[in-house]
Amino acid sequence: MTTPVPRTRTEAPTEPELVTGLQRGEPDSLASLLDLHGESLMRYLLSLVLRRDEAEDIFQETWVRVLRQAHRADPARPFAPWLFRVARNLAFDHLRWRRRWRLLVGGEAPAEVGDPSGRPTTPEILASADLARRLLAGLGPKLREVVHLRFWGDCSYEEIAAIAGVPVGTVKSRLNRALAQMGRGLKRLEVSHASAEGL
Amino acid sequence: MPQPRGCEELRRDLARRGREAAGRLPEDLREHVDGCTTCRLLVAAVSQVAGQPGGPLYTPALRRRTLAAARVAAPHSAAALGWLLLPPAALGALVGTAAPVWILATALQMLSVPQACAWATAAGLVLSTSLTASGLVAILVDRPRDAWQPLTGASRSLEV
Repeated sequence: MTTPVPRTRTEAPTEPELVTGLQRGEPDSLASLLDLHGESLMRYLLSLVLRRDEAEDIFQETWVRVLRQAHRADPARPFAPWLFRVARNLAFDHLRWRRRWRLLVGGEAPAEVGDPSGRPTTPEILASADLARRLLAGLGPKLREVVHLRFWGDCSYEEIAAIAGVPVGTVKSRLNRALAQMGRGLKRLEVSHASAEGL
Repeated sequence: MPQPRGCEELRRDLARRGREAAGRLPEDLREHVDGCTTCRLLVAAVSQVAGQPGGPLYTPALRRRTLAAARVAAPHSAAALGWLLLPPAALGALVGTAAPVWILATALQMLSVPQACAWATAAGLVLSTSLTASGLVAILVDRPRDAWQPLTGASRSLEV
């Protein structure tokens, strides 16, 4: 058995060292990994569930699960895809439950882009700074996920495929479908804008 | 000079080049975008996703809560406790099922129901009642946080 060598250097530990620390149950390693991936994970979860309170709950549950299943992580491989995969599974479980619950007790699903349901008017949406938010809300979670990871996360097709657990071809087709659907949503908005102006 | 390309080619370029495409389009696609409102807005929307304004979502409060939750759910102590609770839980489930079945079957036999029929009816009733109750409890426990409230415009606000 080797005696642990006290850390004399001052630079921050690398990610593999942090994952190894997590497996040993060191609280500092968890906190460092949390700081390293916290913001990107929260944004990813929010892009899936669209509600901040629910995203925060799933975020917490993700880290609890990561701690419990730390022995499954391979320190030699990047930590983020595994972390995001755990979070994704929890988020989709949550979305399935939310859908079932809505079916059971009734209630509305989030309105799609172009849906005339008392939302801001078309010109407001077209001119607004959160056009992307409204367009993404009209997509399903799997399509939102690829758009977010590709354009915000700057992930490659392979990285997205590793997180989503699907082949690269599926990622490509989802991204194409998402962009086409966003384009159709914009066209609907333009049409309703034009008809509102009496053109 | 390259010919202007269409909406589909713009989408393909955005998908292929990702964030980089949202920031800088090739000249021929730029020409198309200048003349096509839908594509101009699509590029704007994708650029918004790439830039995603707004404050940090990972706040100090969330960090504290997460670390506290992780501390409570430390792996080994919970697992050991679970195994310790298994024998009494199994005994409780056995008694909880067997006792009502026995009482109900005895009562049915007192009403001149044949023995086999009484036991089968009692077991069926008790098991279906407990399954229904468990299902309802599971649904209620796992309900979404806002399920009790009617979905108003404000509570439906999307917070990407």
